[in-house]
Amino acid sequence: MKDVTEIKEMLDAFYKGDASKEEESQLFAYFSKDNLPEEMQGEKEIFQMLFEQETFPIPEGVESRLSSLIDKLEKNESKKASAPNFNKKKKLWFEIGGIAASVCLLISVGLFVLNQSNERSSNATEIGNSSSKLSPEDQKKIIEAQKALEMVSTNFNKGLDGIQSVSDNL
Amino acid sequence: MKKIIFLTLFACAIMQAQAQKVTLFEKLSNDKNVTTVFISKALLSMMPHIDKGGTDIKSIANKLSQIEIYTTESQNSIRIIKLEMEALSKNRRYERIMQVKDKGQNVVFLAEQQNNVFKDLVMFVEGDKEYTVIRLMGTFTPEDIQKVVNNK
Repeated sequence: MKDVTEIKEMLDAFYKGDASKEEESQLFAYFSKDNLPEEMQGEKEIFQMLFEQETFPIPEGVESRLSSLIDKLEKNESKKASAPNFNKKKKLWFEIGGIAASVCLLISVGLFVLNQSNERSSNATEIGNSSSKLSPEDQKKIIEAQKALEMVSTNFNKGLDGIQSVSDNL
Repeated sequence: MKKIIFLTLFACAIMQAQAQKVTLFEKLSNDKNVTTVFISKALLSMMPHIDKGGTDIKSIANKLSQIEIYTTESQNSIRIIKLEMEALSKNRRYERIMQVKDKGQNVVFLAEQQNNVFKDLVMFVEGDKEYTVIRLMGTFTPEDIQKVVNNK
């Protein structure tokens, strides 16, 4: 007949994982008995759970209770997820704002460039429009332009003529 | 974020391309030893009404956006211009399309063209005493250039 203290010692060792196979079987045999002292009843239940050989009988209604519990938990999670829905809205506005900003940037750059070229041409037009008769300065410029064009054309033709004469001689 | 950066860079590139067209000869514009004449499109559009007798300026004047004329006798300025010419011919947009040497005159043509249409034609004339650069910008063909004198 085993001593309760001895059993307790063996149990400790068992739970620590230090019990030998013999000790384990001794514990098993001890807990198989029915008339155990009260204090050992609790230990018996735990021990027997560990050494279970039959499947644990599932109490009725557990499955339905479990599934409803899972559903509840899911709902809670989705509630938490919809709170970030508000954040999603914010993100959307930020995106729209970003796109609007880049469009504005493009437009302003475009206008700037357009303005530059307009300024340049309007500066020139002012000189021309201030008098329907051309100012002497403008007249000079025009003559210069004509001379320049003639010069370019003459030299250009000279070069082409050179090529022409070469091909003629070939 | 990436979108904004990309768009900004694109816009800058466009501005850069625009800026380049003006700064090509700005160095010379500030040189006191170089005489510069700038003829704008507005002035060009008035040209047809003044006929210099013989030459057909009309047809090409309408196709040009501007003319720049630079002349100098200063050796220093000539040196600068020659450097600019070298730099320009290295620019892959520009091609050295012609070089004519005769009667003590050395002429080089640099052109930016697309599909046989000139967008920018620059003529460098190195004479005995004087160096001249004439730049024609617009949209015109070689035939347009030839016609100016050939109609005489």
